Parts: sequence; structure tokens; C-alpha cells
Amino acid sequence: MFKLIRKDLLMHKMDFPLYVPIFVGVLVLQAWRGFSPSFFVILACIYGTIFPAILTVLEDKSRAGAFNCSLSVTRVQIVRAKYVISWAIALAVTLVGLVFYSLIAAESLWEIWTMSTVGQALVILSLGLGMTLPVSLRYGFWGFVGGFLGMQILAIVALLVVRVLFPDLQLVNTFIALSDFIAGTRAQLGAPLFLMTILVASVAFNLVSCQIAVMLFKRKEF
Amino acid sequence: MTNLFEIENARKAYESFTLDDVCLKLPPGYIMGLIGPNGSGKTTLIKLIMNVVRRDGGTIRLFGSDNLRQAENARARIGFVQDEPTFYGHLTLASMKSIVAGFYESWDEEAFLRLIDRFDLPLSKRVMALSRGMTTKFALSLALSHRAELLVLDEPTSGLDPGARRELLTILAEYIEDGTRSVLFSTHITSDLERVADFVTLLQAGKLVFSSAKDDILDNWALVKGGNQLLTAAARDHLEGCREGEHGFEALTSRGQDVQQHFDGDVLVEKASLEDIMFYTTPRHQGGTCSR
Repeated sequence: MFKLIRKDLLMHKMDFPLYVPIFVGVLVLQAWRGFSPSFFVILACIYGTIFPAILTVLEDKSRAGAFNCSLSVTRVQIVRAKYVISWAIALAVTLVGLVFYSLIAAESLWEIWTMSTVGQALVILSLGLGMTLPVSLRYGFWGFVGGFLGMQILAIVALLVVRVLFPDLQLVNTFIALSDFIAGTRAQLGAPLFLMTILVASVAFNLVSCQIAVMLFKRKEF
Repeated sequence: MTNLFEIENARKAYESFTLDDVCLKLPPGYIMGLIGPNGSGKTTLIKLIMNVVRRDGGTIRLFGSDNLRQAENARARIGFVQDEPTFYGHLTLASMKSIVAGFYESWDEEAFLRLIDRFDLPLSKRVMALSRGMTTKFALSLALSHRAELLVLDEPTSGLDPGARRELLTILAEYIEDGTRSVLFSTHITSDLERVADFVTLLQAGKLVFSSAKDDILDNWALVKGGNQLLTAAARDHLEGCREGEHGFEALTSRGQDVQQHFDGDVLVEKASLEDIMFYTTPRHQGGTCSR
């Protein structure tokens, strides 16, 4: 695992100086725009998800997959290492974004980093990484694009199906009900337990995602 | 003694090509050459051994274990060079070496530096700036530097100049000297095999034609040359492949003595080279069917 992470760090040592200033610059610009901490966390997490996905796609484009798979590691280890390093990079980008937001918006980092924002960050990073990594690892750039577009198309199709099957249903009410359910659960469990539940759900989601990525990556041919 | 690899009925099907029913084994201490025309399945077979493509049937054992299990251990004992080696192009050779060395406990830095010196490779250069031949030399240096017991080389000589090719063949011959290590390498350049190979495996259109000791092959197969009027239906039964020209025919046979008797000395029978065998065993020339 560590040798794979070391490999990724060495491999991307030229990419970091190029992409890190871009991501930080974009986050700084966003911080100037006066968004609420809660909304800024969402933005930072989205950027945090995109960065490792870009690195995964760049590696796929180098066509070094066969070389990787011929090293003394298993494909399972390759996938697991990719998850660990992607999470590390995504968290780092999110944290760096929040530090700059704190400096620019003159808010204490601890005020931004509340139970609520931590929960949001976990959900967004889990969903983002958990959904993009399996397809990026298996299908490279087109997998990432396809997966991203696919999620949106799936959402549109789901909305259309609901509209056709249940014409009387007010979708807004569904979202309000969902929101109420989350708020109710949070009130019932208390903030720490609620956060713990999100953490457990995020870990479980990413473990499932990692398992799917392993299955897909084992089928990949070079 | 455990074979370094054993392949039984390996199968891989693509839309337009199928590698089928390949059986092969290599004991320690030998060099096996894998020959065949373009598209015959050499690279597919090597990829199956390395598990970079999934097999559809059969078994492949490396060092006595299935290559899908114990993959990590098995790969630590193999040096692999791809047909077109792909590395991270933006990295220098030194950085790339640093990545690869980290994966092998048995990494031999001195051996690596000796090879880099022998192949005259600049460690500060980026991989993307190397020519095809230099990339192959670099891939060979990496593969030969972690005391691998089995070298699997896909067309390692094709991008090399004659001097480097000879150098590589010498290195391979030295590599197996202690009797514990073996080499499998595919090539189009059959003269390379005639120099160093102990065993030769021929693939044609995804099928195994033979896998035998090189000396047996060269002893058993012969070229037959004679006038076209001698090519009767009965004569063709003795021929494996044939080419008819204006001034006579040339054919391959694995039954040299029968041919001498049949033609009663009217034909010339010569030793066949591996290239002749590869040429005449293509489906187009097989079964005594003559091509012009």
C-alpha cells in the first residue's frame, strides 16, 4: 500500500505544482465572493473531489496501466491505494480551501468547521469520490465524464419517471419531507451521534464503492 | 524441479482473434523463444502469463501457483518488458527507477547502474525523450535489476540496433547460466533465437504449432527444393508447406528421409531455418498447398 502511495506521490510530483495553484486560486476567488461558510464547504468539497479524479485520469492517459499491473502488487492493492490517496488529496484541498476562506472572510476556522459543515463535507466527498473513482479507474477519462453525466441523466430520468407515474405528486414536498426527516433524525440523535452516523454511512458507502472499483478494475485489460 | 511457468489449455477470445488451447512449460535454466507472424498471439500469450488480460479458459501456473492467486509474490520474481514499454513519460529515468525499485525487496542498485552504463542511458533524461530502442533498453535494465527468476520479454530486440541486440543476447545467456533462472521472449527476428534459445515455441493464428527443443526442431525440419513436375498429389502428402515458382518449388517437411525416398534423390533437401519453418507453417502455405 505505502509503495503504491509513494509511487503516486512521485508520479504526480510534476502535476502538483501545476494543479495545486489552479485549485487554490479558484477557491480563493470563490472565497472573495462572500458565500456562506456552509455553501463554501460544498464548493471546496466539489473541488476536492475533482482534483484526485483529474490525477487518476492523467495516470490513465499515460497508458502505464500494464506497467502498474506487472509490478509486485495485486489489483486490489492498486485500487485501495488509489482510494486512500484520493481521500487524502480531497481532504487536503478542502482544508486548504477552508483556511483561505477563513483568512479572506475573517472568520475563525473553528467557526466554519462546525458539526453541520463536517457532516456536509463528509457526505459530498463520500458521494463524489465513491461515485467517480470506480468508473475513472476502470474507464479513465471517459469513465469519469460518463459517470458524471450519467449521474445527471439518471437524476433527470428519475424525475421524469416520477412525474409520469405520479402526476399529482409535488416533488418540492418530497424534498421538504426528506429535509425534515434529516433534521428530525439529527434532533433525535443529537449532533455528535448524527455526525457519527454520517461518518459510518460515508465509510460504508466508500467501502462498497471500493469493492465495486476492485471488481471493475480486475476486469480491466491492458 | 518446479517449472517456472506451466500453461495448460490457455484460451483468450477477442472479437476477431482467439488464442486457443495453448500448452507450454518452461523449467529453470533455459531460454524459450516465442515466434510467430504478426497477430499470431505472442503478445496475448505473454499478457495472459502476466495477467494484464483475463484468460477465458485453461490454467496458468507461475512458480507452481495459479497466476491469479499469489500474484504479488509471483510478480516479484518476474522481470517483464512489454512490446512497447509504457512508463510515466514526464518523469526522468532516475525517478522512474526510484518508483520501480521501491516495489522490490531484492532490488540490486549496482546491477541497475551497471546496465545503465552498459546501455549508455542518461538517468537525468525524461522517459518521453527516449527513442523506442532506448525505452526498451531502460525497461530491460529495470527488469534485470531485481534478481528475477523469470524474465518475460515481449519483442525486446525489435527496437534495438544490431550491437544492442547482440549485447542483450549475451546478457540473457549470462542470466540463465546458474541454472535457476529462465527467459521467455517473443521475437520476429528468428536469428536471435538460433543464437541463444534452448526451446522454441511457434504460434500461428492463435494455435500452438510446436514447442520443442531448438536443436530437435532444426534437426527434424527440412527444406525441399525441386522441379514443379515432381509435385504430384502423393508428393504433397510429404510436405507441410510449399511455394511454387517458375523454376521449381520449395517446400517444408518434417519427414526429410521419407521425402528423399519418395523423390528418389531428384530433390535437394536442406536444413530449414526457424524463419523457413515460421514462413511455411502459416495457414496459407500449410498442407502442401502451393502458393505462387
